[in-house]
Order: sequence, then structure tokens, then C-alpha cells
Amino acid sequence: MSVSEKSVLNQKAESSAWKPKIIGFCCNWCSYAGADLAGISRFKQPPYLRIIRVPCSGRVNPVYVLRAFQKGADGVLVAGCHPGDCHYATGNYFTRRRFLIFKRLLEYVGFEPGRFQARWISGAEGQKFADNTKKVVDDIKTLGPNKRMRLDSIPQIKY
Amino acid sequence: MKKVIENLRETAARLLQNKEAEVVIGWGLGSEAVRTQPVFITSPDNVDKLVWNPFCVNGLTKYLSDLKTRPGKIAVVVKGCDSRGIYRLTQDNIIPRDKVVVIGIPCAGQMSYTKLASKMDVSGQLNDVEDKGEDLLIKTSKGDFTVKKSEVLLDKCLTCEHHNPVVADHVVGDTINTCPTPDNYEEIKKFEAMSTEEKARFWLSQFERCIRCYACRNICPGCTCRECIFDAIKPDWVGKEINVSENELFHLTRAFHLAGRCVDCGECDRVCPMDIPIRLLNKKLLKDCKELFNMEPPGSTEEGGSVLGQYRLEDPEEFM
Repeated sequence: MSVSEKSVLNQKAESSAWKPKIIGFCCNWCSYAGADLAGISRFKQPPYLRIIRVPCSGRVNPVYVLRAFQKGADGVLVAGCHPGDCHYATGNYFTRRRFLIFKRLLEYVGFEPGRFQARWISGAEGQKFADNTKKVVDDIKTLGPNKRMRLDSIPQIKY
Repeated sequence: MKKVIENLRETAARLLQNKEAEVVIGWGLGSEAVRTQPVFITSPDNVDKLVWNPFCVNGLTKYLSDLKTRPGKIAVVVKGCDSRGIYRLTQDNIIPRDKVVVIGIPCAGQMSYTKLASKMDVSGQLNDVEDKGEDLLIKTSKGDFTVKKSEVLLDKCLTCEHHNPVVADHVVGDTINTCPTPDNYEEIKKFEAMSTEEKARFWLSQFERCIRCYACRNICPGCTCRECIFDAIKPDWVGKEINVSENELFHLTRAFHLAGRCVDCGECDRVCPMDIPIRLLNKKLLKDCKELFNMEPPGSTEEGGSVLGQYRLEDPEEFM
């Protein structure tokens, strides 16, 4: 077997290995801009975070988080402006209350701590965004694939 | 107890006679000795159907939401726990306070049907109930039975904070002076202390059994949205299939919509045909709201609202 064949095989083995699928709900005004900054600054970060842009972290309904888990997400991140920095003045204060409670509820019913995370990342914190992405990906990698709530693991009823 | 019933019937008759209320919602004798059923009295001649005994477990406040378009005032009989539901409805602007006449009955605790049924023959008709201090003498058409109160009391009554209604236009019966038992959430702490795997196993086995009858939603005085997320088809927020994943989505969402609003009347738990401990979810949210945001028990005061619809700058910070 030639060296190039071997490397192709290695690549194939790598691609079939599980990779975390993480959904990030990022506020348009801060975290999304932070992600942009991380990109144009060429900060290295793992490519497993799939970002959904929302107008405000207060726009994130907890049902979105559960829906993401149902559709196969291994982790969910909600990122918004620092308290006091909200573009709409108070949106993230509601986010804070909502997800403080929601995170505890998820852990109460048996979700692993770390499956759901929330962070404040401003538009100027490209480095923090990249570091946080690394941390979330590491956390999810340690936890492994999420099996809870996944719809594709449920046998479909045939009519 | 006889005095309370007389008082109740008198009050109801007077309200209907003077047109102070068009309908009185109360409890009437049920199909079995230790059951009661809701009755809707519209004529003073029928007030004899109203009863009060330790089996009046049903909360009647949700009927206000169903009857809110009815002309005239609605009188409703409430216990302490149900009375918080009145404030839930008025705070949510479901029904104006002046459309409701609240008849409050101080309640020392209600008896569980399941617990009673394991101790006595409940199939007869109730003739009389006598309170003998520690014991309860239940006279039915199938014979007389004596049960120990502490053995058949509903679980929720063990940690009751409001024996006396928090709101009442007319109080029938004497105020109960037992000091309220503060709930220190012992049971919730027990569940919190379990490992992640144990918790998951427990809750998945509960959610798995749900048949999605939505009885918990229908009975809840906090679930009064005109368009419910669980009924919506466009957008299809919650799948309508019955499987463990969609059931879990339903239960977590239902609980979360009640976060900081649940008045802890325990009705969802009682009506569940599959005996899913729904109240454990609500209690957890109550505990967290209390610990994190110093929340008062929802529905205990006229003013208030949703804890998650408010904020303080000094709320706990964990997402930095």
C-alpha cells in the first residue's frame, strides 16, 4: 500500500468517526459579531459549532434548545451580549433569568451538565469567542454523542 | 362541617337571589362515597346540591376561564390552594376580579381517593362525615368506616402554606389557626441528589407513559393561552406523535411555561391518568425561582406576575 493510499484510508476513518454537532444561538449584535471577529482575526477554533443568528439572546425560546436536541444536536450554546450591553436595553436580562432556570430544569431531568451552555460574548471579544468554542467542543467531546430526545433513534410508525 | 355546609348553601342562595351572581360553582356529591363532582348552581332552589367535606379535592378555578364570556358574575367556591388560582387568572387578565365572587372555605386538608379506596369500601353513597379529631368517621350506604386522617391525607396537604384562602369575598367556616407548614422542598432535594443516569432513567420512564391527553394543561389555572403551543400546527412547535422524545418536549415545555407562575395547586398531578409526577417538575421550578430570585409563592398576593417576565440587575450571574 502506498503512502498516499494510506493517508486516504486514514482520512476516511477519521471522517466516519463521530464529530460533535453543536448549535450556537448567537445574538446579532454581540456574539455573532464576536464570531465574525474571531474569523477575520484567524483565531483557530474547532469547526463543530453551527451558528444560528438571532436578533437577541432574549429571542431564544427554550423550545428551540429542546428541538435542537431532538434533531440531533449534541450540545447547544446560547450566546448574547453582556448584561447592560443589550442592543434592546434589557433583552439579555430576561435571557439570564430564563436560562438560569432552564439549565437547572434540564439537569434535574437527567441531561448531563454541559450539554446546554450560555455565555456572554461581546462583539469585541473574538478571542473569547474562539476560546469558548474550544471549551464547548471539548466539553461535548468528553460527554460524547447525545442520545437523549433524538427523534432519529425512535422507530417510525409505518401507516 | 354541617355548619359550614349550611353557611355555604345560605350564602349561595343569597347571592343567586340578589343577582349578585348568576351561577355558583361548587362541589356536589359524586358517584362514590369519597368523591365529589363540580356542580353549577343557577337557581336558589338548587343550593342543596352544594356540599363541603374532606373529599372536595377538585380545584374549580379553571372553570372561570371557560365561563368568562357568560353574562353576569360567577361565584366560585375555593379552598386555600385553589384561591391562589384566582389571583393567577386575574394577574393574567383572563377574567376581571369584579366578575368573580369568591366564596372561601378554610380547609384543614383533603383526603386522597386512592388512599381511602385501599382502606375502605368506597362504592356506596355518602351519608355523613364526622370529624373526630385524629380520625374521620365516614358514614356511607355500604356501612360506616373510621380512618386515620394522617394516613389518607393528600400529599400536597402535608406542606400546605395556605389553609385559609388568600382571597375571599365571603368566608364560610372558621379560620384555621394551624401555622402554615413551610415547604422546604425535601423531596426535590432528594431527586436533585441523584446521579445524572438515575435522573434520566426515572424521568424517561415517566415521560414514556404520557398519553398526551393534555389533562394537566386543561385543569391548570395558569394554562390559559387562547392559542396553545401544543395545539398549534403551523408552526409545528411540538410534534403530535406519542413517543418519549415528543412527550419529553411536551412536559418540559409545559413545566417551563409555568415557571414562576405555577400556583402549586397540585391539580395537574391529580388529574394525570398515567400518574406522572408532574408536580415534581413544577416544584423544582418553584424552588429555583425562590432560591435565585427570592420569589414569593405565585398567586399569594393580588399584585405580581411572572418572575421570568421581570428582572433585577443583581440577578445571579453564571454565564460570564
